[in-house]
Amino acid sequence: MRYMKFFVALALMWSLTLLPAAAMAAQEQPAAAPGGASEAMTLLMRTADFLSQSPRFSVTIRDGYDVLQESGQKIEFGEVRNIVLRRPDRFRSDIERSDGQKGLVLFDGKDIIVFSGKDKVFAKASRPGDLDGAVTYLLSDLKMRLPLAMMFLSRLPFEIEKRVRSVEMVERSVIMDVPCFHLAARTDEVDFQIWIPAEGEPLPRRIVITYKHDDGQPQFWANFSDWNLSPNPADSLFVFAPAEGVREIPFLAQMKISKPESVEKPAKKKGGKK
Amino acid sequence: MKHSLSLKVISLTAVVLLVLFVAVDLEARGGGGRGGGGGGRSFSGGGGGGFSRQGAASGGSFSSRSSASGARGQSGRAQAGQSMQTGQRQAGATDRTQARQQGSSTRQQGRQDASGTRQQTTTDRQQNRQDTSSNRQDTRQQGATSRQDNRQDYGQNAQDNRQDYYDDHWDNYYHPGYGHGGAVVAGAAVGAAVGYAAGATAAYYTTLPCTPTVVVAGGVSYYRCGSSWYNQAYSGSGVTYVVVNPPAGY
Repeated sequence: MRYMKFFVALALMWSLTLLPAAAMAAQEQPAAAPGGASEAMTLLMRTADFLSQSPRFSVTIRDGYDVLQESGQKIEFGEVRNIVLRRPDRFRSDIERSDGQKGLVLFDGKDIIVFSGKDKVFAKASRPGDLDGAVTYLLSDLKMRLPLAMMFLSRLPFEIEKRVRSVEMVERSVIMDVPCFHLAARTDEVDFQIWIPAEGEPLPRRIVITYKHDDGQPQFWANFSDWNLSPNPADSLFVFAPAEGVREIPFLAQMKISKPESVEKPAKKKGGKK
Repeated sequence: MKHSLSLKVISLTAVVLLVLFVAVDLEARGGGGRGGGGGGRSFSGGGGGGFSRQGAASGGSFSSRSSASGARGQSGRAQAGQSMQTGQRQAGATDRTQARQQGSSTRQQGRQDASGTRQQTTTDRQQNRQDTSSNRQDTRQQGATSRQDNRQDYGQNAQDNRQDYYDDHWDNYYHPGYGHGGAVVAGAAVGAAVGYAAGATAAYYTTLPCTPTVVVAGGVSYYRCGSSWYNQAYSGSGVTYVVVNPPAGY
């Protein structure tokens, strides 16, 4: 009888020990997802359609990105970009980098212009046509940088459909300025997450891109604010008027390149004047 | 007696716990020290503004070129293979698609011609079967021709695959942030920059190794460091310095 009491007490203590663990496990069960993969894809495509069909918008993008250094240390840099877009052929991006350097990327329907305030130089390339063609040319041919360039294109839905292999709903996030659906998408080369408002216009609030195949799996993130779907920019906003002392330089991709030459090799002197 | 035993047990337990605490504390301090040392090495190695701003994630694109170039944000000389790929990315997507279609037709016609030639060659060889030596030579030639065709097909297919890759990765910005001491071989020029680059070489840098002497010649600013001359050009997200020949008269 005494042994029976002992075993009962032991079982009781064991149960009491496991009870909190069971309760914690129950709490860790994810909340019911608002929808499956198909709904997640629908939400993603709704955002893509909405952006691509917006005739004009302005938005402020604060972004940051990891750079893996030779030492193996990961360092984050960032910038703030104010975007103004007017389809079919006007675009302006004012940039302020985390180190204070300011710049500009502009398309006026005919020319693509980039400007560096620190160096007081600009480069210009002729590319008459629509914004899609100019943005594509800027990146693929002129080798210039324009983060999240895909989001400015009217063919955004096509690009999404072509690249995305799967999308899932992570959760309904309530810590943004408005409740958002948090989606996780995968492409062959990058994973990205996007936060889309649960109600109202599907203008993204945040994007995180993970370069999963690169060393250190660096990330690029961007927070979107001050969305405006009816800005009324003056035409002059898309005109570049260089201030006095600002010089034009070429795009590197436009320079006629001769054979590679070592910088350490002394340059040939063509004359005696110095 | 029992009281004495209890005291011994408690004392022994306290000693064991003390030893464990000291060991854990030392381990923690040692770990921290290693971490700090690592940080120190990193900062001493890359200090003075030596951190690269350019890397695989800096472009904010929805694609990655890592599988092609092993991209990593660091200074250094680019591989020759990457340079060739850069050159191949110059043409527009539409042009590349058209070129692929034309190339495919040309290759198909070429293969048919080659096939016809081989059949004719085989017939000729059958007529000269008595000459064993000659026959063996023909066979070797046919084998060589066939292998060459295979290599050409393989090479063309690989090139097509690369071009498809670039069409799908038009937004992939990744250009290593080369500080001085590193260079990259750029591809062919897109269009032409008037007044620039006659004799420009493919080496370019994000910073100059000195405070340069600036010379304006023909409306173009030249930057001189020692015996090296540079022009400014826009690449990636900022200004780079391209090695050029000296301006006329220098």
